[in-house]
Amino acid sequence: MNKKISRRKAISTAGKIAITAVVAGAVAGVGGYLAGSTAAPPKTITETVKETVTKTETVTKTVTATASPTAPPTTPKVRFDGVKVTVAALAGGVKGPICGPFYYYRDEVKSLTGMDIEVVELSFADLPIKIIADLSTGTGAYDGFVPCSNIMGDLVIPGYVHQLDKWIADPRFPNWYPEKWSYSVTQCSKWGGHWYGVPWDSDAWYFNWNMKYMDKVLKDKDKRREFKNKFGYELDPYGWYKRKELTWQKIRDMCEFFTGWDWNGDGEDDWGIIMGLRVGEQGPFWFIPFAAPFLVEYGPTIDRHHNIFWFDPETMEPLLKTEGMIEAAKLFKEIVTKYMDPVGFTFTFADKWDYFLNKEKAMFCWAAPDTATLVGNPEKSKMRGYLASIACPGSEVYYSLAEGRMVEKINIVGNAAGCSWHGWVSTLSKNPEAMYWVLAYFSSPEKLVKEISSSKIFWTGVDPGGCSLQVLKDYGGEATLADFNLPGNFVDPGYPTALYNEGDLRRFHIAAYNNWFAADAIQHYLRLPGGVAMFTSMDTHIIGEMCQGGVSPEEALDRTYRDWEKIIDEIGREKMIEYYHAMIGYGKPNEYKPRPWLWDDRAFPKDLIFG
Amino acid sequence: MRHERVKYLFLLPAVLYILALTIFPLLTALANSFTDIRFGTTKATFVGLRNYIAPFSDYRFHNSLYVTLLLTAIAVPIELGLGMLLAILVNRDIRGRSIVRSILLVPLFVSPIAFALMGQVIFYEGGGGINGILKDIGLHPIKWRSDPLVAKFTVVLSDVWMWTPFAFLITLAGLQAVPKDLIEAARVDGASESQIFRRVVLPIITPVLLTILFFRVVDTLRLFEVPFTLLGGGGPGIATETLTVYIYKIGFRGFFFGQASALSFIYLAFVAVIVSVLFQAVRRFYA
Repeated sequence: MNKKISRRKAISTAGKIAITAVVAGAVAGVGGYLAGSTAAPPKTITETVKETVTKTETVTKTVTATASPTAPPTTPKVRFDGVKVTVAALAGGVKGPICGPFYYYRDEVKSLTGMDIEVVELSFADLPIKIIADLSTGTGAYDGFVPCSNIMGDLVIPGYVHQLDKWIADPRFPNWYPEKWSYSVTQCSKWGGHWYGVPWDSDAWYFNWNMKYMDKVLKDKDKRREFKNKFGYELDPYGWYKRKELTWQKIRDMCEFFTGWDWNGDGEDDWGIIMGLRVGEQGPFWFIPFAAPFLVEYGPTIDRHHNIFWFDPETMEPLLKTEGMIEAAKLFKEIVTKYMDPVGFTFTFADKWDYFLNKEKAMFCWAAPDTATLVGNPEKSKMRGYLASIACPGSEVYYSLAEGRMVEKINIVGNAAGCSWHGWVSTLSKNPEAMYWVLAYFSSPEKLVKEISSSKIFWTGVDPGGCSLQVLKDYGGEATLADFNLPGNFVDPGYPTALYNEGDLRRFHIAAYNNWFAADAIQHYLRLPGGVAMFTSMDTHIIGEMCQGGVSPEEALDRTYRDWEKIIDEIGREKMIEYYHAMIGYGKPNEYKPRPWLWDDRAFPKDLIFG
Repeated sequence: MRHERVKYLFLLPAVLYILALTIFPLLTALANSFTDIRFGTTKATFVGLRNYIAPFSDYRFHNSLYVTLLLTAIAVPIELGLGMLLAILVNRDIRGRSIVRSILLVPLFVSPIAFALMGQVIFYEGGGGINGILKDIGLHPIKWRSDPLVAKFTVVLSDVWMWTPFAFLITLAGLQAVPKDLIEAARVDGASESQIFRRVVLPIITPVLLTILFFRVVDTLRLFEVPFTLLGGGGPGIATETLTVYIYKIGFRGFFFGQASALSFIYLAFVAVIVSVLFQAVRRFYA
């Protein structure tokens, strides 16, 4: 009875009791979570719709929209009790974009696996610096990080991040279905055919217009006549998009035509277009996809003259001084200096959304998919139901590297512009498997769909498009309207109220499909070592000096060219050629195979197509 | 003898501190400046003086040097002149002098980075603090941050706002140290107020003014926060790209640490030259 026990034994016993309690609690928590899910009835909505199929046949049928079979919350096959992973992500706060999900799912991950997640929030400018500093000094403060994809070369080449192939095939980890991701977006996660990042966000630049304004103009014969008299052709934006004929040259004319109208009735002249071109931010993402159709020419093989945008693969000479790039730069400068409110030069993303979606002061907006994911939120937008999302406008003329001359032909090039934020596992991490588990969990089907449809809880900044799980079944994907809580804006205990409008959603998914799968060609994402420096140089000379400083397009491109040459020489031209070949898959068959252009009459005003 | 040794022990923490946090980084940077070391790569190659020679044929370096000198040449005299003017005014017996003095000192307590962040609202072109007022009174908004010329003015304006109080405070201290009997004697001798200031006060406070000039020049030469944060990394384009901003970009955008280290030493030499010129001026004054 009065048997004494040692202090060590007492602590050990207490520890066991505590661990048992925690495990029991966790099991009970998981059990409860699973029970809650299975008990919930499947979301089934029946609706009758008129559907037009491939522009030729109109049928009326009953569609049963059921939420995609939501895989039960991942049952972990591995636990990480007592493990803490630290992840560096874009600063935004507990409900902020990109870093928000780490906070939001922190408790859930804890209950499923026992691990803790610590989030280190860093600004856009600091993020690459802190990550590279941590890695190159061997500090190892971060187990993983979620940086802008343009840092990829600086992570992969020196071996700072784990290759993920071994874990992807390992059933202990959540399956995020790599095969469901499009080639265009996975280029930001793969190097030399191997996975290094877990794809998550699908950035690309889309063209948007305000349908309230556009449709009003198109219904006015006098206005259309005015446009035709001025520019010599019919104003037909929906028709152009439907026929794959929308080009930046036509957009230039529309921007001119629509500048100076008082769209929102506030007594002030409004503008044709708005962008977010503040120097020191992400300005080059506005120019890079704009310039793509002026230079990238499709070919079945990645060779010296086809599917190339950045450099001559044989010499590493930047293609910045080609006629195509100069033509693009001239047109870009004209549009942003004449038809964009100069305040756009001080805008970043949030200002631009507010200007376009909330203040409605411009007809057009050229932007990341965020515009489409935010349009339904009444706190941020007055345009719910009126957003036209359009994929990758083309150019009526492009420079053929093969022929060495400008060719007059409409060229449409899909893009992966933006950061496409996704996670990487540091080779300095002491718990790389735990870190990978978190990243894989966030990209697992259930989370991936929830992250793009939960903007009522908070806007995650994770944009859909690159993964078929997020794209509507009608447009080649696997998601249903119910996945986006449509139709009906119903409230479900496990889901937020739908913020999406069906028309907005459909138009965006059509645009995403066309951008990722149906463009004539795809622009490669710049992710070489030195990529951040090249990006900064474009920002300085093209966005800063050319657009805001009165420097000519030729001079701005030449200055960027000189900076890039210097960067290439500093790193070593031969090495850079080798890296560039690995980046684009030089000499290999082109993985991108253009599919037919997608259109759905339900999503657009049929009576406003004239051609 | 033993006591002699003990005193070195007391010095040791300070010496170690300086060695670890000043001398070691300085020597490391010096060693790096002769290599092609780049963040993200594992080995560095000796490149001799390449990193020291290359900037002199780099237009970005020329531009940043020009911008740094231009901003210093404009901002510092304004701060000095305005600070002196305010000090003279506040030095008089006026009502509420202490309140005015306190208000004038407020900007001194704002950190430059905080001001740069606040400036994004104050100088917001679409209806921020200043443009909002201009719009309300029917004037055209000013392109504070998007016009290359106006952006330089924005940097000068910010610097003047932040640092004029410093010039004001030191000058005021100088003015208050001027012996009153000298001024009264001059007045008795029939000197006008202007003559008293030029012949009596100014010579006495000149060392104070030179000290302010010295501090402000050195400080303005390393101008960073406002061009970098408020003007988006020295923008628009490279219109406000000072030497420090340029070095930062080479180091932390390109990760070219060898080049950035060499540029830092060039910058150090550049500041040393200017400081020695200023010292010479002070020495000549006292001679």
